[in-house]
Parts: sequence; structure tokens; C-alpha cells
Amino acid sequence: MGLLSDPEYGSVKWVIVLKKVHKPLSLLLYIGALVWFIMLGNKEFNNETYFSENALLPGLVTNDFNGEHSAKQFFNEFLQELEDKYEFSDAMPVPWLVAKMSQLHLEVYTHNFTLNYPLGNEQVYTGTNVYGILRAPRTSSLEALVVTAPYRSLSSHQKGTAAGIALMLAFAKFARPQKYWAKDIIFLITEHEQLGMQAWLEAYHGLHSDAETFHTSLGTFWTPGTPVFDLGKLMPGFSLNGDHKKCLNPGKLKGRSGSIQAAINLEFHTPKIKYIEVKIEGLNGQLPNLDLVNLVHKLCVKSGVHHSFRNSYSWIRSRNKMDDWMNGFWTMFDMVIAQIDGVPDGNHGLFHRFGIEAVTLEGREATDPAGKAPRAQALSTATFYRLGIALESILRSLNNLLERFHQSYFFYLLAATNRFISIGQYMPSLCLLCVAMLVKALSLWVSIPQEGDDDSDKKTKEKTKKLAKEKHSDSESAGEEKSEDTPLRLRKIKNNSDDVVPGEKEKTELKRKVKLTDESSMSVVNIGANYLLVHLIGYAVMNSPVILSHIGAKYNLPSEVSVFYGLIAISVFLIFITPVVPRLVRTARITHEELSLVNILLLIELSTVCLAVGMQNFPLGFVIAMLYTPLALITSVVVKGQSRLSSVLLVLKRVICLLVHPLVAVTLSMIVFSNILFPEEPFFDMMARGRDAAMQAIMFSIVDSMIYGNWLFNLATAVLLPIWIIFWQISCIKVDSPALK
Amino acid sequence: MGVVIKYLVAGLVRYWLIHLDYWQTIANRVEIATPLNSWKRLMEGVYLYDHNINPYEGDSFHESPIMLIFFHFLLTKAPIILPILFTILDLLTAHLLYKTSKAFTRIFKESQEAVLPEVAEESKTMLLSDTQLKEASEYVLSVYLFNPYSVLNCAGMTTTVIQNLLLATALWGASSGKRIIACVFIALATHQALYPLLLIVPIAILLADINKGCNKCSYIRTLLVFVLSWGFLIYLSAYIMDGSYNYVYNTYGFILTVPDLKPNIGLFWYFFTEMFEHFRLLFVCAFQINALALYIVPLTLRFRKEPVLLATVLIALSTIFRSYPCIGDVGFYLALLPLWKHLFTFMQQKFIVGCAFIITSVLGPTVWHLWIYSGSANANFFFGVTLSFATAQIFLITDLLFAYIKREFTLKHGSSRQVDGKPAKLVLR
Repeated sequence: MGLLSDPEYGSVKWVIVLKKVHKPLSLLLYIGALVWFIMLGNKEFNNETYFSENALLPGLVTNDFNGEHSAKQFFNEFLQELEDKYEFSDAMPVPWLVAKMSQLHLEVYTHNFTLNYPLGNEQVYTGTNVYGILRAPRTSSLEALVVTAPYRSLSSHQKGTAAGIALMLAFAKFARPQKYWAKDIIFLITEHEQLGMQAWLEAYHGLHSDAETFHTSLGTFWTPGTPVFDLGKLMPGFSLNGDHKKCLNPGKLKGRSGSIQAAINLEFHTPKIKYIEVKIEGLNGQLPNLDLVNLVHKLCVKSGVHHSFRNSYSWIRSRNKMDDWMNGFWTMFDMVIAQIDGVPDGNHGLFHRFGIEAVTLEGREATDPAGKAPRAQALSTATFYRLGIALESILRSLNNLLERFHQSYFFYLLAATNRFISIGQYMPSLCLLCVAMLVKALSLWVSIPQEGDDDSDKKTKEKTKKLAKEKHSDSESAGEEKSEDTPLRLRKIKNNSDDVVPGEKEKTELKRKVKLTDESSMSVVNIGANYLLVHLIGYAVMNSPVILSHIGAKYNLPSEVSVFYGLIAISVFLIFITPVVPRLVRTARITHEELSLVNILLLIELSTVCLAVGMQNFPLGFVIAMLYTPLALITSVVVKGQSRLSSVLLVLKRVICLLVHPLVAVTLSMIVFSNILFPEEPFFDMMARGRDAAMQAIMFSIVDSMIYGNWLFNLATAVLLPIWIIFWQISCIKVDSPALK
Repeated sequence: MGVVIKYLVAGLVRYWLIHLDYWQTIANRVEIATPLNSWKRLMEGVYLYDHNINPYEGDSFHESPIMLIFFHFLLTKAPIILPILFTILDLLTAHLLYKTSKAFTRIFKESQEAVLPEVAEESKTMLLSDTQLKEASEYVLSVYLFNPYSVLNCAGMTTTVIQNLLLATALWGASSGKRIIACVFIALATHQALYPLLLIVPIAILLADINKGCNKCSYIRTLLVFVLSWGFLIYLSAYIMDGSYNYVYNTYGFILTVPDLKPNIGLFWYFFTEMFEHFRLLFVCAFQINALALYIVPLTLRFRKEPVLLATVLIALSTIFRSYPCIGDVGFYLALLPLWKHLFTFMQQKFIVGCAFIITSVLGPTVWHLWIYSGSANANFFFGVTLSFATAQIFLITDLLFAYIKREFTLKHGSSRQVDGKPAKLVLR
């Protein structure tokens, strides 16, 4: 503060230093961020997990799960039922499930939901969930735990979940007569994977399918049917109101329990699994409380089930420090990659949005499609008994909870099943990236000519005249300067730097500056208009897929094709049109100062976005910062009349800029990804595969944002795209050099 | 032409936001709607009143009775025009501010001519030119019309829209020397939100300056008109509520004692949730003195000659320290800042303040989401952000004041600051 409240900061030491070192400094910060991130995998930089919540009392009860036999029976009966009646259908065996649950004396309900698919020809899908509630004998139904399993048909290309459902039923049978339950347990089987889960959760929490508008908020003062002046009617076909009708109709639940404290999702294909993979990543990168994750890992150990988290396996403990580090890093890195898209990797991920902690336990065999685990073949095989014990201990521990999970971390990365990196440890790497951008912004800010500030070229001249000036200033009388009546005091400073400004020179410079401020001040409105326009373009692009898919549907194109090529067309159009836009909204040519100001604003906006996104979903924010910081650091205002070398550099900068265009970046990463997966394919096949993958990915992200509220697509179009456009404008518009004036 | 387009675009944006499906979200944001000004509570109060229940007996409604019958009339007769009415009122505020700023720049010009002989030779270039002054008022208009804070405030349909209109009218009245208008509107604003009470000081000075003559008589006359109209409004409100003065506990009392601790962008809620009950009175007094009385005397003594600056600073300070601030108030005083465009070159913390405004405005909703919806952050995060927002505003105000003093000094003594032949620097002590 002391430095910043210095009046002549243009010539203060730190400004000069900053102008000189800001480039290497930013680069250093960038590398520092990377190094920091890599170091996080090391044991010295992360912590051992521990229990924060005392009430959990993990593993203090004697397990008496005795449902192994019934689990096997349920498993066989269920498979038999599927093979007999549902071999060629995708439908869920609702009657069988309802019958079994009723036999166990649970309160059984079914729940219907519909999805009006928002894109293309607007198909309608329906589905059914089955759930049974075990009422706690000791309390009224104020709190509940959920055990859930998705239903997968025999024809599904994914692993089935028959063993999970069987285990669930067997556990229900075991738990029903027990006296100790303090919370209801809801046993839920959902159809259509995450869709069913989402519908059930929305119905459970009573989310209505239509948002309240201004007119409905008027209540009785408003008589429905009164004509309203609606902007949307003026432009048919392009609804300005964004028509955010929810496409998922969750329907109504007939039976409810209390507020849900925690949920466990089971995905067991067969009881003969080798180990359990604990999946935690949820919607928009949200994570369950670390206590729940710890609980699951710890109780797996206690009940003799092997468990893993990504690259970290409970049965492998290396003694080599380097191996440890690499393992930790790759586990963490995998987790980061999985969180970027914000798509939950299991049904548990949808609970997080409602403030419910949830994890998925996925059973894996030695030869699992998800990837081979080292030395998994030699592991002992789990049985229904062991899995049941594990489930029992987890639920009984959760049963002890006195309040919601709140003690432990919500923001963390896991480097191993038992090591974590808290928000305070990983945030600095993101902050360093943002600081790199802000440093650049600050250096641009101090280079904009201002009152009491000197251009660098002026400075060099001054340096040469330094001696003469000093004499000059010595000879001046200083009596007139004294003024005790103002709250300002004059404080003498030693003029050990070269920042002496003689009066005459100042005067000419002042004149110049007044002229400059006159000119540049005209621009702020235009800059603002450009900014507003670009962000509106982003908003329009965000709402475009529905329109694009409607247009595509007219020509019988699949919606992913029409949306993908539509977005490409829009992007190309924007690439050509946007550098001209600032010229359209103004009469005079854009000046150097204006563009610098735009650049500063942009840098601040970008770093703010990265920080805000990083608060919610660290990996996404980190990756955006990682991708865009280099662009932010190399982009600078282009001055006319450059040497050949710098124009080559400029072309290079523009190419880099094009490469990080959100759409291009997604497509490229998909191509690279398919190259990693199928390295032997020829180049064009690989490109085609990558393009298809990108098409799918974009479609998924759009649909996810409409149904589940995943905001990746909205972020990319409404925030990142405008930022990118402005970067593109800056690197495309050539301005007169400030020195020429 | 350009001006008309500005009004049109700003009006359309506001109207469109009100009809967006996200309207409910906007209208319920804690940054926009406080217990004092939220549309929801207004509806509640009007509904109760419509059913012949005294809305002040409960704890939900804190608007003044005048606003109550105004909105009761509107809602029963023509609820359909409300969105457009709010939009128009906000545009009217912008227009009044524009007019006011034009009058203010005239005042600047006059006061500059008055001090012309004292200006140092080398500082002559710093004098304000006509084009600069004209631009300043254009900026005032643009900033009020397109500032996201005031746009969102209008879109949320808070009663702060009305508050801003009243303030703007009062300032306009004062700047054009219309004593009755200025006093009546400042009384109306005071009746609604209490804190505009402070503004009577700069307005009195302004009126005395403009209507030349006996200064003391002018002060007394202004004060008298203000007190009379305020008293009349209080009586009128009681008359509306069938002669009962109980509404005072739920309006002024509510503002002063801060019983509702719903989080907002101010500083009160966090402190008072943490506080032991028996210290409450002491700290309420301390906080309210800070907001109402602490700054007025020293600032008035120092800036007696600059009532416009005094008004700007007092509006800003009362916004920062009031018990239920919202971004609509922030938007209002930000719109006045371009009047001081000629001071910007003397301000040192523009970059920091700008960064802080942008970053806190984005991080606030983010941590709020994490706290309330995801359940993964807590109140400290949100308070941290609002605290830094308030700090940024305080930086802005002190920087503005310091810049004014620096400019004054530079005008008088020239821009080469030297003591005993050595370069010196100005330091705020």
C-alpha cells in the first residue's frame, strides 16, 4: 500500500523493475505453478487421511451379517428372471423387484419419470424406479440413508449390476429385523442409469418442473390469461427468454423419508470380484466429504476386501520413494482429468448437488475393461459375505452420525487411497497462474501513459540528462512548496533514483498527456460496447444448439452432426467477423491505449474466471488457466509497421490463439486421446475417430447441461468463448504505435 | 441520437432480464435483495395489507407505509405495468443523474473561475475544459445505464430503484437550486431508508451556494423545510396506518437495531451473529454511529467548499456502512464517480480497486453457492469476500479524497514538488 499510494508511481523503482522483469516473472510463475502441481504427488507435500468426525466410530461394532446364502439365492433368481422374461428387452423387472421387496416387509413404491429429449425431433422417454424404505424402529423418519444400484439389462454393453442388487436385497433382509437403526434406509433401484437417479432425486426434493416467473410471483394480484407484452413474440423462432423449460419431468414420489444423510451406490457385476474401486467424482467436479471416502476405504480394509482408487491399489505399497511419487502423481492426475468434464462417473455424483455425500463402490475383476490392476490375479476373491460385512459396517457407521457431514474436507485431491491434498495445498498452483496474468495486467497498466507517469522512451532520454537535471533541481528554491494548512505534508526523499522530473519538461509532457487522455477517454464507451456485444454473442452461442438441432432435424440430420457443424460454422464466422466489430461500433480508429485497456480488463476477467471456477471445480479451473495463461502472456497489442521477425511471431501467436479456441481445443484433445487409445490406426482414421469423439463429447456436454445442470458447456460458450474472441481481436487488430503520435 | 439509443438499449436489457426465467434467481440474490428492499417482502406486505392485516405486526415487511399504499394501488389496479414501470423509473433516475451532473459541472466551472488567480502558471493545463466537463456527464449517464450493479438491481425489482430515484431527484433539485424539491425528496428518501438523512448537509450547502445571499438563513430555511416535510411524512404514514405509530419499530427500528441477520454485502450480519447478546446494544450503537454520524462533521469541515464531493463521499460511505446495503446502492454512487474524472489521474489505487471489484463480484456468488447449495464452504468464505468488497470501496473513497486534495495542491503550487531543491512526495497522514 505504501508503494501504491506513492504519487509519482510511474517513475518509482518498483514500476521500472516490474516493466523490466514482468515477462520472466510471469514465465517463472507459470513454471512454478506446474512444478507445484507435480510436487503435490510427493509424500512430503500431501497428508495422511484421518477421521475428523468422531460420531462415525468406524468399525466399532461386531458384524453379524448373515445374508450370504440369501444373497446368492437372490442373485440366481434375479439372473433367472432376466433370462426368462427380459432377455431381449431393456425394461426393468419391476414386478419381480416389487415382489421381493414386499416380501422383505419394506415399504415399496415405484416412481415414473419422463424425459422430453430437448434436441432434434423431441422424442419422449419414460422410465421407472423402484424403491423400498426400511423405517427406523427407534425414531420418526427424519433422516435417511440411501443404498442404491442402477439396473442394467442383459443386452447392455456395460457390466451388469445383478450382484449389487442381490447384495442390496440380502442386506435389506438382514437389516429389517435389527433394532439399532436410527435412520431410515432407502433401497433404490434406478433405471436408465443417471437419468433415473436424477429424476428420483428431483422428485424426492420436490423440484418443480417450471421456474417461477415474474408474473406468477404476483400471486393473487395476477389474473392468468391477461395479455403480456413479451419480447419473445417480436422475434418468432428465436426465443429471447431462452425457453428454459426443463426437459426432465421427475413426476411425484408416493412415499418419502427424511433428509438424506449419505448414499452408497453399488455396482457389482458378480460376487467373485477381486477388488472394489471407490468412485467419488460427482457432477461439476464436486466431491463427497473426505470423511465418507475415508470411511469406505477403512472399512474395506477391516472387512478384508481389497480396494483401490484409480492408480492407487490397497495391496501395493512400494518402498521406493520415486515410485511412490509417480504413483501419487498419476492417481491425482487421473482424478483431475476425470473431473474436468464435470460428468459424474457413477450415480453417486448426482447426490452431491443436493448436499448429500455419496460414493460408488464398483466391483472389479482381474481382467476388467476399466484397466488391468497390477498383481490383481493373485488376490483372493471376495464373496457376498465379505461385501455384506463391508456394507454393514459402512451403514452402521453412518447410522451413528449425529449431524450432516461437515467436519472434514470437501475440496481435496487424492494421491492414494490413504493420502490427500487439501484445498490449501493445491490452490497455490492455480493462484500462481492467476498471479502471472495479473502481473502482466499490472505491467500493462503502468505502461499506459498517465499523469505522473512516463513512457519508457522518455525515461531513457531522462537518464542521459540525469546529471544536468540534478543540478537544475538543486538550484530551485523550495520555500513555496511548504504548506502546512493542508493535511498533506511534504516529505523529503533521497533522490537516489533517476526519477527527477524538472518542471519545464513536466509541462510539455502534461500537455501531451492531457491530449492523450482526451483522445483515449472517448473510447471507454466503445470498449464497453464491444465488451457487451462479445459477451452477448457468447450468450447467443450458448442458446444456439436447440435452434441448430431444429434446423438439422428439418434436413433429417442427426442432432449431433447438425450441432457440431453448426458450431463450427458459427466459430468460423466469428473468427472473421469479430476483428471488424470494434470498427463498426466506432468512427475513429482504435488506439493503442484502448486496446491495452481491453487487454488489461481481459486479463483480469480471465484470472477471475479461473479463480471462481477453481473454487468449485479445481481441475477445470486449473486446466483453463493452464491453457490460457500462455496465450494471455504472449498476446500483446500489435503495432503497425513491424520487422519481418515480429510479423512471423505474430502469425505464430495467431496460430496458438486459434489452437486454444474452445471448439478446436476439444477436437484436438479428442484426436490426441484417440491416438493414445488406438495408436496403430492410420492418420485419417484417427482424425475421423477424433472428430466423431468430439461430436459426441459436445453433444453429451450440451445434453448434460440441459438435464443435469452440468455447466461445462455454458462456461465454455458464455464465458470462455467471449474471452477467446477478445484475445483474437487483440492479436488481429493493428494499431498505430503510441510513439508515432 | 446516441443518447436515445443508450436509453433504449438499457431499458430493453432491464425489461428483458425481468422477463427471463432466471428472474426469480436474480430477485432473491442476497447481494441484490435485502430484508429491507426485496420484492418478495414487498409483495408479502401488500398482500397482508390487502387482507386488512397490519403488515407491521409481523416481521417480514419493513418498507414505509407510503410505499405500501403506493404499491398496493399499483398491484390491485394494474400489476401488468410493474416491470415497465420499474424500467422507466430506473431510466428516469439515469436521466436525472445526467441533468444533475450537468448542473454540477457548471458549479465546477464557476468554482474553478473563482480560484483562477491562485492557480500556478505551470498547472494551467490541468484546468477543466468544457469538453471534459461535457464528457463527464455523458459518462455519468452511461455508467448508471450499463453498470451491472444498477442493471441487476432494477431487474431484481427491489425498492432500491425507488430509493435511487428519490436520491437522484433530491440531488437534481439541489443542483438546480429548487429548495422545496430537494428537501421533500430527501425527506422521502430518509423516510424510506433513514441513511439519506446525512445528505441534508451537502444539500443545504449546495442550496446556499446556488441561491446566493445570506448563507445562514439559507441553511436554516433548508433545514426547516426538510424537518417539516419529514415530520409530515411520518405523520402521513401514521395516518395511513390508522393513527398508529407502531410502524416506526418495523421501519426505522428495523434499520437501526438490525434484527434480521440474513447475509448481505454489508458488514453487520457477520458481527452480530457472532456477538454475545448483552454486548449487542453497545456494538449496534458503535456501528450505527460509524454509519450515520462519524464522518459527517470532519468531512463537512474539510470540504465545505465542495458540497458535490461531500455528497458523493457521504452517499458512498453510508452505502458501505449501512445495515442493509445492496448492490443497487453501490451502483448509484458508482454512477456519480465519473463526475470526478479529472481526479482519476491523481488516483493511485485504480488498479487494485478495479481488480478487487471485479474479483469480489464474481467470487461472492461463487462462495455463496458453495456455502448454501453445495454445503461445502461456510459463512466465513462469504464474509471474507464481502469484507474485501467493502475494503475496496473504502480504498476507492479515500483514494478519491486524497486525489482531490492532491489536485488542489498541485493547482496551487504547480506540479513540480520540491522541498529545498529535492524532489518530495505527497503523503496522506
